[in-house]
Amino acid sequence: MKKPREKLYFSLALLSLLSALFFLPLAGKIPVSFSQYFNALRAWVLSKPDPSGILDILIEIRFPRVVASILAGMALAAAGTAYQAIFCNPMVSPDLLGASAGAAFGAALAIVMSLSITGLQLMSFLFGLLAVALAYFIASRADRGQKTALILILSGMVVSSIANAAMSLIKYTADTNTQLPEITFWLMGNIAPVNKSDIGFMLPPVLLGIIVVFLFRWQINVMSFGEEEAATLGVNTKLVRILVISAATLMTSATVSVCGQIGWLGLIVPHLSRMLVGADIRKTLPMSLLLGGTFLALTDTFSRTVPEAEIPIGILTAFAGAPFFIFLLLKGKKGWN
Amino acid sequence: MLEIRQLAIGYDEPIIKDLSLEVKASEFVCVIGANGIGKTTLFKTLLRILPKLSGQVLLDGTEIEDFSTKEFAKKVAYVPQAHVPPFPFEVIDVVIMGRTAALGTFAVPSKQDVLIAENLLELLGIEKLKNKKYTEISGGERQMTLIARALAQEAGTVILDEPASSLDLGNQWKIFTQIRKLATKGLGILMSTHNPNHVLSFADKTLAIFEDSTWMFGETNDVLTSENLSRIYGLPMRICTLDDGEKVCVLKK
Repeated sequence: MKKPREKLYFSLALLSLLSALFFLPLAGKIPVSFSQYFNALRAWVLSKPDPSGILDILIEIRFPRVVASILAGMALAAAGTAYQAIFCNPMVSPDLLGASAGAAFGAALAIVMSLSITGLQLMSFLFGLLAVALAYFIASRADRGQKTALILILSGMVVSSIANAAMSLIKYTADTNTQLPEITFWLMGNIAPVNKSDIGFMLPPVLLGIIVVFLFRWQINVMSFGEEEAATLGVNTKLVRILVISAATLMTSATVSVCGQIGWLGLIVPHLSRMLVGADIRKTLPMSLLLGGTFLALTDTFSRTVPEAEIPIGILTAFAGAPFFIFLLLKGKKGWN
Repeated sequence: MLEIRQLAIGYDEPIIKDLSLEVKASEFVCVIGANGIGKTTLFKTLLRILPKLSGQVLLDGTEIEDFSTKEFAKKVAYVPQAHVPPFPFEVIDVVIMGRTAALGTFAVPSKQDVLIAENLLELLGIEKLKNKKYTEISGGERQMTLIARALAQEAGTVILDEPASSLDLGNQWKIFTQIRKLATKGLGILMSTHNPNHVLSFADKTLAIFEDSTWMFGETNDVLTSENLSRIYGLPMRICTLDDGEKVCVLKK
């Protein structure tokens, strides 16, 4: 089914992701040469000690960071791809139902309660899930079998708005010398403090989410023709919707709880994928995973190497994402209609 | 076979009551009535999108509520009014979506499903659209694609909601001729339309819904009389027979 041009795009995207994973750990404030890099890797593979200390930098700092940014990028891109399809709307992003706002509120709450980093991540993750569960509950009470998607989107807006208000309240009461800056920095999105155990925290929900979306890829395709039509074609729309929402929420909350809020990526990467390989989720999803991972790994590496002082990743994705979206708009409607 | 017995439809209050009719295999049944009279509500009820208020709807002897979503999609196919989805799927993919009910929950379509879809494009004479974007083809081509998608379900009954309403005369004629052929091949067809002349030319039986929400079902020639048409639209209508025996409907001045 794949055309030669699409095969080329997939090969290039896969190559980019693998190169990002392999070469980006070379970059950083402490210079690492190719030979040092390969020596360290050889020592690692042979389980030998590495006297240069390079291996420690790679294993403890740089690889976790590159892997975390790839995972986060994949998660947000996969969630965005699935959401845009099941809500039949190309303007939808993974924080639609309040996952991101809820997770941010949970993190802020953890900061004023002076919880540990693990406590913060758990709290943030749980509040992300809770926010979407609340939006889903409100929508299911208001639902009369018509315009279900629209009611869900509105409920999500309401819940996000409540979470943002609660967040403002926390900021207002927070200690302005310690807590307030911490909350503000956290909200800007930051992959800098990520270590190996954070990846262990992120990996299961992200992997589970991707697997669910992948298993339902054909059903999600059919859902993009609207709920009623999908049902007449034999799709159990309620089941697919709640599973996809759960999967996307797991991925988004896990990502936000470890990396903070990273905007735009979940909206833009699916568009780019559709431009390259078309609307079919069987192709759009793998392409989004590859592009999302590569894009965030590159952006994060840029943020920690090029500027004098590190710039929070959320600011960079917004600076890179918004103009790219304008470019898509000006170029005409290729990824949607 | 689709059987409707003493059906009442509507959202809270019934808008049509005690409706009874049958759509047998190889029958082309048209539904005709003014805007807002309940044609779409009827179809939504038959497709289980809306719950019925009372009465029975049977498919091959089984009540529609007793089917699973998948089994139901194998019995009845639905052709909605062509709309443009937000994403640029290829025509062939849209047609393959008709195979969804035949697939396992986690499965994706097989080569066999693609072949079925390709054969249907050929049957309807639109094979050249295969790799075109569904969002970029014309309204008539989109409607044909949706008919192909419905046929891919391999259901015995096909319900079409005003498939010709936004098309030019040539395309309307194409769609009706094609649907007539499908009925002749053995499908039961239930279709709504706003053009009495098409009903006169093509439909075996007709359900007319009048302005006062009463209805009449029977052979097209018996139902579509000057008097009944006037009651449907609240305008003086006249059926004329042309020299060659063809009947046409005109509005009296």
